[in-house]
Amino acid sequence: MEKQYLIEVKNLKKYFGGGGFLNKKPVVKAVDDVSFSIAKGETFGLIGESGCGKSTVARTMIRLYNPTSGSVIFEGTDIARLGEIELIPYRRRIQMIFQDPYASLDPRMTVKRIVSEPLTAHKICPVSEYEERVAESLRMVGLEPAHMGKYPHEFSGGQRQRISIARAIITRPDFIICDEPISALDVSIQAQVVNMLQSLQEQMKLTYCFIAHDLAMVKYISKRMAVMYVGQLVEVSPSEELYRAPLHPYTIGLMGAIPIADPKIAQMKDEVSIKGEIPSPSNPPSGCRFRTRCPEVRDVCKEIIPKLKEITPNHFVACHLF
Amino acid sequence: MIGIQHEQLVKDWTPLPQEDKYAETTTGITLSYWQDVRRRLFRNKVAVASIFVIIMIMLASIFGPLLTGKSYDAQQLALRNMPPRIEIQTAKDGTNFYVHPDLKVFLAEDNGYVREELAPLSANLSDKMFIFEHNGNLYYLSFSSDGLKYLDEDQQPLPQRKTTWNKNYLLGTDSIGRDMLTRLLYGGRISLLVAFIVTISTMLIGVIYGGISGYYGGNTDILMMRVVEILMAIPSIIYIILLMVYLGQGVYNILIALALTSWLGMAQLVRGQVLGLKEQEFVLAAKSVGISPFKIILNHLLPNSIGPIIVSATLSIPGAIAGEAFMSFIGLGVRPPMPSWGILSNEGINAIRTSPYQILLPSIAISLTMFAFNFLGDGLRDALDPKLRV
Amino acid sequence: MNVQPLLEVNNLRTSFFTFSGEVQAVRNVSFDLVDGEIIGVVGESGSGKSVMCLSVIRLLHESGQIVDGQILFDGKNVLEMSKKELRRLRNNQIGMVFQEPMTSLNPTIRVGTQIVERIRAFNKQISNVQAREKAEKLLEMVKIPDAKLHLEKYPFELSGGMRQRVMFAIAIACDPRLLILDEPTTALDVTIQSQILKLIRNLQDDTDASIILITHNLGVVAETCKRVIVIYGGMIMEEGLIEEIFYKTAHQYTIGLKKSIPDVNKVGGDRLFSIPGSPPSLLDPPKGCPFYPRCDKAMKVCVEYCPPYFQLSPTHRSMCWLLDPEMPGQPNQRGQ
Repeated sequence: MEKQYLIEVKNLKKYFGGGGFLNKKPVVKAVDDVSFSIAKGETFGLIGESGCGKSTVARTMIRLYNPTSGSVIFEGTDIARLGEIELIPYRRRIQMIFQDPYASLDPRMTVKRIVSEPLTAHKICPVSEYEERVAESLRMVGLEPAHMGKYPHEFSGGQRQRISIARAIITRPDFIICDEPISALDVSIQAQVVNMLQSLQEQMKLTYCFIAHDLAMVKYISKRMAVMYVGQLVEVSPSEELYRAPLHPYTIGLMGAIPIADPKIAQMKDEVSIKGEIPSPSNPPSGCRFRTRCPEVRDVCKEIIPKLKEITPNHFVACHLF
Repeated sequence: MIGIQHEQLVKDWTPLPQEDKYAETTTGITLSYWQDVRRRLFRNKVAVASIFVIIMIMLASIFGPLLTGKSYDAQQLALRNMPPRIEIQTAKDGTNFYVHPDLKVFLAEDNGYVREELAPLSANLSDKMFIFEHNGNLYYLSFSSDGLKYLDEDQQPLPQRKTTWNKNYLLGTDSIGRDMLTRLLYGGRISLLVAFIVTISTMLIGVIYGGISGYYGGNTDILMMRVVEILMAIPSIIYIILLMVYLGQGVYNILIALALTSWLGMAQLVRGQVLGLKEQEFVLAAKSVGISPFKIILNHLLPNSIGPIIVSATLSIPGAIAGEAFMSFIGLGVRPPMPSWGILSNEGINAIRTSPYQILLPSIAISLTMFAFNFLGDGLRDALDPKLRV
Repeated sequence: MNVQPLLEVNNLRTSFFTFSGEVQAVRNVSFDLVDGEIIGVVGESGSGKSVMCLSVIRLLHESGQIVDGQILFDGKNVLEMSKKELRRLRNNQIGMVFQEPMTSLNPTIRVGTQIVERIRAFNKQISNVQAREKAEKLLEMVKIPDAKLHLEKYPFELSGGMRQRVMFAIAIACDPRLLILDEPTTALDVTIQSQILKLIRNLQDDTDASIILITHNLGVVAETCKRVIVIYGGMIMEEGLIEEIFYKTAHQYTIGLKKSIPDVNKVGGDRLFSIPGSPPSLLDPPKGCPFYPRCDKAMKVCVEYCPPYFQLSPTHRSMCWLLDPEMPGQPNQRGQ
């Protein structure tokens, strides 16, 4: 039974550095052979810590960076191969929401100009209709259209993030990549934004790729999740199962490290946390990248990079233990 | 409200209806970027004073020459080298005389206005004396090594002397009798013209060059910046001199020469700004939406770098003015008789011992203008700095 | 036994005087801290939690002023201290760790030198050699491996977690009686955060210092603190022991915060609970309870008058009209 995939990422690699004829920089393998698929209408979660490459994956998918190799297949077309001009119609259908609500809106533009900018790029409607479209978009994210003449600095973090979302949905896209959209927001506002993203998904039949480091939030919003570590995927599985029965030692350690808002449970927790530092992507360990911190490390881990293998239905792990 | 005995309060326990809770609000006062900049700038007293000075200089330069009633090239050789403050001597019978260093004597009014020359009656060269006669009285002009003395019949200095402002030529005359004031004001026109034209062209060339270099980055940027650095290695004055020798003297030529050499710093500045802004998320958002590079540079990158661009442009004006003055001073700038402050300085330096005002006046003008633009530039830099926002 | 508190804050009011007006960051805050306690200060951005703690050591931006109140450290009034006494307070008695280790450390000076600088700031007699030895011991105390090697490194050569450990080393260098940690783990990854929290617990055992831990993360508080203060809109909403705050929650804001955190164990796709609205503007704070615009149990009295603190136990108090014994009808809401 072939599932209808909206977007398939295959063997994506993105390396930085190297070239430049006068200054050779060290090669940073930010994304090193990553593959996953997202079905239409699904929310796919991507988690990992700093340096894991999740933001790079996001930006490469949307062609802000050009991939070093690999493909990004959107509804049958490999958009990684397209030229800038051919890419433009796809830019209308794939949008992105960024992390920092204070930096993702041009401080010199009014809200109206910011939200209507995608309309100008794609000539979706005549200029006279802009105001109406912007008002509609703002209402959909819970903001008053009367505010469209204001500047970003007059709004709070949560409101600015909603303006970003209004900008993203104005072209009626199919797929939205959310790159840590709530990390910079307060706890009580995070829930508001997540709720809104979900109701928009129902209304507009959107597909999301949700990237974050807050595991609880990602699990809540996504049906399926992937865990990344220093440029590679270590585990992919339905969210439910990932929490209930994580297989990869890194995932297990990650789950254990989340502070739990319950004193009794918190005090009963194992004192074992993952020791050591996260390796830098410019100098990753050979073989399995987690081997320097893994409590179950073996000799083979140093030699061979483990590949993703399906252990239980739909649950993939990249580890020599399996 | 804490601390009030709560038993004394009348407490209404009814639940609060939804409408009475706040809707989505926004913060504080709506101030656009420029309004905020203006407010901060006007708090800086020195900057405000500088703006005032600049406006005065502009008005004086534009309208002044029309109001003095004199032209910049009309010569009155008889009254050459006449300083702004002159000494009027009054004889016993009330006649006012003005003694000119060229060994001439003029009749004057009480208020200091010099009328006509009094021709000498005779000359006694062995005694180094000229003899004058007026209204029946004899006067002697002695020019011996003791100094220039004007004596009456009894060989005594005249009883009354006073120093007044020159009423014929408010700021005196130069070495061939041209009005210093008019020439100074005309010179102001040249200097301000240089200032603005050069600044505008610097901004245009520098912004476009730096914008492209910064936006595209990579090898394009490396190449373009190497060109700038190589050009910068040689002092710009040498380029200017070479260009002026080739083009010849003249206002337009000096403008071209200065414009072609002053954009380098601005290009580097803009490139730096663009490089920094390029990675900001709002630029990435615009890219991901599909905005063309040209529109991104125009609508996002430039408006957000305009602060340092304006500051740099303002602070480069004094340099341009000094550059033109220097070029004119060494004879490679504006062509005489058209005056510029540099030309006035050039002419004035020869008379620095005898008529120091001739160099003092253009020097003060140049300094004042440069100071004013410098302080204004500093004030703008502070006003435009987002970190200093309170 | 009545122990004199190490830190007593009474009716503190701190405001920032800006172009737009007076921003009342801290409005009438009072709390105590005894020796050896770890107390958590929970609040969101703009709640006043950082300003409150910076006021304690009078480290405010120039537009900020302590408008009213009393701060007693070890019995001495901080607000009346001379510059010299204040410097001694900051050097010898109180250590601070901020959120961003990269901006707290000088990027052009080696780590060891910065620690030595700190040591010699409060102990003028100590020699350079001795200070370096102490610096090495401090790095070991914060569990940095190869301490001697790391003394020679520059801050940019260290990872975020390591830098934060160095900040801790600097903070405990003078054997302080009070440590103020302002969101020390917010900028760190989850696994590193867990290491740092463990470090904090160990430090408390080893050094006997009192710790104020400022954070917005209830999980962090649950793991490390014994007492908690919840701040909102510049005022303390609730204060109590950790068990009381989590299991006998008495304030609607705290309840809302707890509910906003998605439960990892729960199955199902209900909407996340979210507290509607946004934090109040401190330029023009509401005259009643600061939380009423977002509270689903708000009453008219909440708009009119700011509630007093009601004691639910000797250690647990909350500012809410729902706890007033005069309130008609249902028993007080607790712990949901």
